[in-house]
Amino acid sequence: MTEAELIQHLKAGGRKKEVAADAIFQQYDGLIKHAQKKHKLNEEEAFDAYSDTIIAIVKQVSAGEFEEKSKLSTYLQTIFFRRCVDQVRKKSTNPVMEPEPPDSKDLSPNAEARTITREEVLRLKRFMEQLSGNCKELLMLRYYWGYEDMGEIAEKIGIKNANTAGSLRHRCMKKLMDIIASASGANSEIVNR
Amino acid sequence: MEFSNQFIDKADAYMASSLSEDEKRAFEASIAEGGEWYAQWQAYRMARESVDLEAELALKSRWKQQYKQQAPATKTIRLGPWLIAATLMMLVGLGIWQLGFRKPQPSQKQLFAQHHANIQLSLGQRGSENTDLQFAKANALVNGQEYEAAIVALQQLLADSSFQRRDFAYLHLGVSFLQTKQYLQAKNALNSVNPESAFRFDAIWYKALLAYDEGEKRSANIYLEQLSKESKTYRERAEELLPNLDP
Repeated sequence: MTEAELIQHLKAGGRKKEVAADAIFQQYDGLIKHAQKKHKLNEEEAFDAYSDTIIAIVKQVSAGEFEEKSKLSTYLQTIFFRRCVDQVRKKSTNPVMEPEPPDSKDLSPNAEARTITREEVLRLKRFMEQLSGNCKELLMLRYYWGYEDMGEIAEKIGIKNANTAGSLRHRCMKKLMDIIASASGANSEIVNR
Repeated sequence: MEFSNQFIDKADAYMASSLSEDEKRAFEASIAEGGEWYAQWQAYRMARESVDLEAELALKSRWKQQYKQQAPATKTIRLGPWLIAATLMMLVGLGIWQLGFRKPQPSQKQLFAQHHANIQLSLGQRGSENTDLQFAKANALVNGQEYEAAIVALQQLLADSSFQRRDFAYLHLGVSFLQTKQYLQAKNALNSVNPESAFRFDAIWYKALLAYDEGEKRSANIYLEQLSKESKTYRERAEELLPNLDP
């Protein structure tokens, strides 16, 4: 896929976004080995840096936050470089800071998304664990992948039809919000964030 | 607290920036007032974060699996120096030395590409209209190399007792499992193709590739020899591959 097609697909959402996300991942996965050599990361660390980069790219482009001032590949490499440096920092108390790659100044304002703490990650995961498989799948398809057509969602998760999927969406979302609200009864930080 | 469908729909539209300016201001004002809509909004935002995180973790896990399972692009069989000399002499003697010193092993990708060029979707049999449409979609997923999605779609079809084109579906299911390196499931699916059906030779072809992938060269040989004897379609391909398999 060309860069223009990747961007267009990510913005379109649904199946196109899924295809584009996989395509981007596969297109640049040579960077993993590159990071192992250049930044002396092991495969796990290099993979984490790379996959986090692709996820960030997918998020930003889908949300219309990528301003296309530079090429997507340049932007990707810039974010990847920073993630690799983060990995190196984690390993070492005295990291060697290399100069950033060229063309790195052309960054969208949200290039570095809010860092989520490990504690928050565990808390958010626990909420989802209390949902059924169908609920999780439906909510991810609708809200993360941006599938608009409830008929398509119904087919993907193997339920009757679009109307059933539509009702299930409300039920699942309410259930998740209930779980969160109940947890907030025990921890007022959640409501006050 | 009671969460309402109305709130969820409104919040969805707000997040998608599809509210009009007036609606957007009214929504923000309701939340700013505090009270129930504010509490719903907080729970909704966190719900959206949870969903995003779950999807991202699932995506990372899938990519990790795919990355670890990546096969090398091509395999080549190296011939020892004496074989090269012998081959050279033979080729010079036959006057066809320009073909080169070795016949490279076709990559799995090339083999699949060759075969897929020959698969035709037959619309001869008819099941219910719904399953025809679903089958066409499943077939499109296989041809589009979206194998994980194809597996799900094909399994759903095969679970439907009214669905008739079972051999073709099992064949595609076998191919999809093979492409995602789920060899046991691939074997089961391919073995489910009726040995009398029109797709029996296709199934044997993929079983040969599967056996080769698993390093079972002897089994691959047996399948290819069968094809070479019994199938006009696969004879040439089988005979091309047979000499490249280690004895």
